[in-house]
Amino acid sequence: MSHLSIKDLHVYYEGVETLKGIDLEIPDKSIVAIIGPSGCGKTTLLRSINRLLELSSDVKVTGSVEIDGENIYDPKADLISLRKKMGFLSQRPFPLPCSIFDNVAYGPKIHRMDADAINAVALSLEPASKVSKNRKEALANLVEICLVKAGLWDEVKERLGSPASRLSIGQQQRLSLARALAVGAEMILGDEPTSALDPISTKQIEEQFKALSSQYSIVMVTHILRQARRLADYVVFMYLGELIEHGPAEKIFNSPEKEMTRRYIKGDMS
Amino acid sequence: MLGDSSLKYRVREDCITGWLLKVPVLIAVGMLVLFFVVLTAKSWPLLTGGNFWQVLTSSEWLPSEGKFGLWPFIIGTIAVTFLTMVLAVPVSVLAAVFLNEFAPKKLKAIALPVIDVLAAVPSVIYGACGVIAFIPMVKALGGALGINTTGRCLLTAALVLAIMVIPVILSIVRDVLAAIPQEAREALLALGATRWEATYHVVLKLALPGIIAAIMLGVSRAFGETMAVMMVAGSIPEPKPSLFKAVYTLPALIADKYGEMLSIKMYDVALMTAALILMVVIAFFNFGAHLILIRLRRKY
Repeated sequence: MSHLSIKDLHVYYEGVETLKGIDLEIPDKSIVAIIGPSGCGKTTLLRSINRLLELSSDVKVTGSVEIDGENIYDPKADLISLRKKMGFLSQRPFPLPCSIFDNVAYGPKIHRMDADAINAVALSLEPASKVSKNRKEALANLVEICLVKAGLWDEVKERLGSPASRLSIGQQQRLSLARALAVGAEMILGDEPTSALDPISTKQIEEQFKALSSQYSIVMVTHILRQARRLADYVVFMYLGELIEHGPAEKIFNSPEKEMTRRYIKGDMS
Repeated sequence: MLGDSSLKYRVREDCITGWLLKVPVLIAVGMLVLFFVVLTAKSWPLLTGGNFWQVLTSSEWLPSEGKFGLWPFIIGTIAVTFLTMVLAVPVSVLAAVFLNEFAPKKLKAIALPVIDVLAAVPSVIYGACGVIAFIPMVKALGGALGINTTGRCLLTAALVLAIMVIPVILSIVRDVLAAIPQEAREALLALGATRWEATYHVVLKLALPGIIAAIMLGVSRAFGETMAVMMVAGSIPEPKPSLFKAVYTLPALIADKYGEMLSIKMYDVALMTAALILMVVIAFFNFGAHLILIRLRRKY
């Protein structure tokens, strides 16, 4: 279980300040929804947490994002193990060009996890899970557990060897979730993870998030207020690159302190 | 009613433009068919003369005696093309990967236009550079290895052609890589993959059909290239190609001899047969590339 805190985070895109000094403690083991109108910097904030932001060109970041006290913007930070800690779901899921099984097994394979490491991840996901000294068996167990936890197992258990690209988009998004769980992610980041999905798939993802929130911190960007109401334990409201208000969902939705938050919640601006 | 007549007009216009737009396609397809028909008709006497197999496999090129063995030209063309690809493919694919996945923005901004210009340089200029630079270099290399060579040889031709096709392949592969969605890379990086792992496991895998298509285009370009090869290859038919020996390719043969063929019987037929072989091979490569692409698409 990791703890995330953001301190005085500024982000500049091509010289334009898109995040203007964000300070935020992400509460552990809960679903945090980042809400706000388009262009308010929600996605930028989310992507600064796992440094995917810097794939875009000409980005400057100041301030710090600390995971268990370690600043991920420290030049000496171990980016790979930090990213491993944070599962990421993008707006459109992207299945790797291989089988369903290999999609989930990919992470443990590139991180060269041995049987013990694989068993450890499996046990952290499901204390009653099978363990095996044989790496291949351990990996098969882990893939099953991850797919179960992502709510996909029953739909794919008969065809683990078929290409992941044949899955529906909703299934692909749950596969992305399973893939993240398999590397032992301790936190899940979602960038509008249901925006490309149909209502039934959206519901499935939301249910998995609910179930996983007892074990994981889940930070998700959403522009759907109803989704934030359904899911969030904690809400962060942003506007034009600034953090306007944050707090327990109940408080933000029922008695926000700031006028702007109230107007956004009421639907006066979107 | 006004509405009715204007609608009729628009429907007729749509119908006519639909037909007009088909015309260029029909012309293009018709040209290809026409090439095959004309070349086949022209080379008919050799195709049906009973010794076509001998024309393909014989190394005797003595037009004045009526002996038209095309083997040295066929194997010469294959050897030059193969060696060109061996030299060009790794360089162009790796350079494209570097430029698209790893290079800083400024380097990209400079390199990409330069590569596009290189791809457009006329082949005669590559040939001239080959004469000035590569012939002496290869001659010196041969000398250092104890091989007597004029420098006008297979290796020089392949080097010049490689330099020529690298920008072509590089440019297409770069476009293919740039078309791979950013989510593909992010999905892997977010799992803790390194940039090289993301490139190797996903980007290159997704780009493979496009890379193969680029290579096939490079093959067609090298196979059919005439000018640059003529200038540096030595143009002596050799039935057994060797790096430091001269080489004579089918396009060079056709371009070289077309003017002098009038007086000798069957000479024109032999050259048209060479042209037909060239066409068939290039068509084969292109259709082959399409088949591979279709199969790969089905797989993922």
